[in-house]
Amino acid sequence: MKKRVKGSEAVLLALMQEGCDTIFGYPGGTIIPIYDDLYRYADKIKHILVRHEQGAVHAAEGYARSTGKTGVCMATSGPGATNFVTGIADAKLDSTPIVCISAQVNAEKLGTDFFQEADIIGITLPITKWSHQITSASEICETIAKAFYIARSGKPGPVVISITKNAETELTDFEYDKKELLKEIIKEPAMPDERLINKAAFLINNAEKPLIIAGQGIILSGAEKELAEISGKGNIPVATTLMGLSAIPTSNPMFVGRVGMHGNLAPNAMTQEADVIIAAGMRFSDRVTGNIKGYAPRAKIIHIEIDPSEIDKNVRAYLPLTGDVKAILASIIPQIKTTDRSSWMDFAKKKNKEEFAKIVEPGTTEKGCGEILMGQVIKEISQKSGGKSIIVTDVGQNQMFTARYLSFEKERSWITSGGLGTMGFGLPAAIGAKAGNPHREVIAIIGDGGFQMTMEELGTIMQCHINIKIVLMNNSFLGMVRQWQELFYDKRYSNTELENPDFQEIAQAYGIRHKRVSDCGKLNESIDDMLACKGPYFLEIIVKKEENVFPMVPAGADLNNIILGKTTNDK
Amino acid sequence: MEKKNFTVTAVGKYGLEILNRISGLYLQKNIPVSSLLFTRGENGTGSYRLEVEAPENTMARTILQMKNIVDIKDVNYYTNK
Ligand SMILES: Cc1ncc(C[n+]2csc(CCOP(=O)(O)OP(=O)(O)O)c2C)c(N)n1
Repeated sequence: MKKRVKGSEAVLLALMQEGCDTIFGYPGGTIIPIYDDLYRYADKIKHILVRHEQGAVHAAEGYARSTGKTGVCMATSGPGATNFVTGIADAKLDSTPIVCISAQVNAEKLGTDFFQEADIIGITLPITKWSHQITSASEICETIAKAFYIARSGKPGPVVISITKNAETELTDFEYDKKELLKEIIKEPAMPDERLINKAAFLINNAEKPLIIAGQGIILSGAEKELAEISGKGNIPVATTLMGLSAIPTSNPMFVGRVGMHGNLAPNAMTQEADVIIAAGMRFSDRVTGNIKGYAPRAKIIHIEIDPSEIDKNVRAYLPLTGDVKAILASIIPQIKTTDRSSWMDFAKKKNKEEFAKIVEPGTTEKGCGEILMGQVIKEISQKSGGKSIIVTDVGQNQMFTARYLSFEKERSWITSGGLGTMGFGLPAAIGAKAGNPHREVIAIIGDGGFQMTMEELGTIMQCHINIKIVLMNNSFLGMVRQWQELFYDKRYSNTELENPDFQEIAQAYGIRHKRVSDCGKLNESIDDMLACKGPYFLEIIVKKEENVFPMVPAGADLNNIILGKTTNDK
Repeated sequence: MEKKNFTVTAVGKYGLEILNRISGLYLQKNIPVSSLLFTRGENGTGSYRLEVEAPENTMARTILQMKNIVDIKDVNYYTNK
């Protein structure tokens, strides 16, 4: 039904048509008309007032990744819009569906260096899946329908809409017939030829040492069930990438760990031994392959991927299957034969045992000196949360230790910045995850460096009563960079030591319950207190200053050169 | 790897932002473009024609990435030799 409304109202009505219930944003001059209508629609669309527009984008990402819906963020023109940039780049590399709306100066003033004019479309062209500048209210419905469709279809990604102020204030006819609005762009998802599906099944059935490497594509397409099914039916071990964590429960007997630079020993070794690799919804990033020349030397690679441009980009596929991973797995499963692969699984067990003895045991057990190890913290949190919480990390050692020691039992439980590796992602992304999942526990694990990049979002937590648990792993270092300096730059710690503020006072100032723990003996009860707390909680853990994350495949080395520990006292 | 001269043609929607996405892709990948022709067709369509120099396999991948640009309908390329 047609309705005559102002452009600003049309934006909100269109967002509601797309199922948007939450907007993360920050107002300013050019976007006031939309905020004025938000005031009226407050009971239908929740607005979470962040403290920096970068936080709005990361929160929208956290919301999208944890719910499977499209995240929405909003900002004013100029500095509001440019503050979006890091978050948009993050969403692009991690294929996260978000719609970022920023206002713009009046259409007739475009290009005049008007107050708070920045060409956000031009600035973000290389980091968006699509973008459009609305200069007339009549474009609003079609643009928003397109934006949501593009953000979540195919390989998802960020979309930017810039809306000039005159378009917000003009009147327009609001009519939202999605089919009609999208008729020019809707595409049927591609599906590989049946012969290719048969060939994939043949290769898998005849493999002695097959390995599935599951990426985030599994989660994006909702193929967790199919993944478990194909693996269970064929006795095929499953490894995940960093972004694929929580696509399969850690307790699944076929799960062998995580591949990549700081991944587990077993799946990295299995990659080098496998005769068939089923790469499902992953893109062979350099963090996964190490030196490409030495990667998976024995394997025929079946690459299941929605984006044709990813095929053969980094690693040559023996059998590319382009399309939706859920549909493709579902079509292969009926042909999979149950095959005994126990000796191949024994290989995984042997490697896991070796890793346990060399890394896990020493890395999660107190050595009598009272210093807390990051691995210990994560192990405790993992046990106490039962693998059911949504875990959001920042970037650095905190992220890699969490990826190593956390168990997952539920899907969409792992949110991290993988492709861009954005410090400052953790806190706002956790806010977004909680906004989308009010009934799930959300725990943010953050380093002292990254926390200081977006800690202003404590204000958002305070004002909007966001009940998240924040675990700050304070080592007074930019830990991951320090680790590289230690291992590859003869311990020259150039600008990686941090003189930190009193984080307890900061949490106190925001009215958030807080505690600092530095004694190993108190770790357990501190985590219990945090989890028992009804509201948000800030737990600062003083961890060992110079600890290293192992295993590690040095950048550019091949997977066989995995380092299990250094020869000094860290071993 | 040996570089060759290619002509790339793309058709899709007309728009400077699409032209910028195409030129941005070549810029990001550091592929030299010696000529770029952009023409407006009927009913909001546009055609894009580039002369570029790149190794064959880089070209094949770049074409797939061009096809990913929303609003580009089809992309073709051929070597000039
Ligand atoms: C925005 C940004 N700047 C710089 C880096 C480079 N970087 C990667 S990890 C890291 C150190 C992180 O330190 P901290 O947050 O204290 O976490 P830790 O490694 O100690 O757990 C840095 C500086 C980055 N990833 N992101």
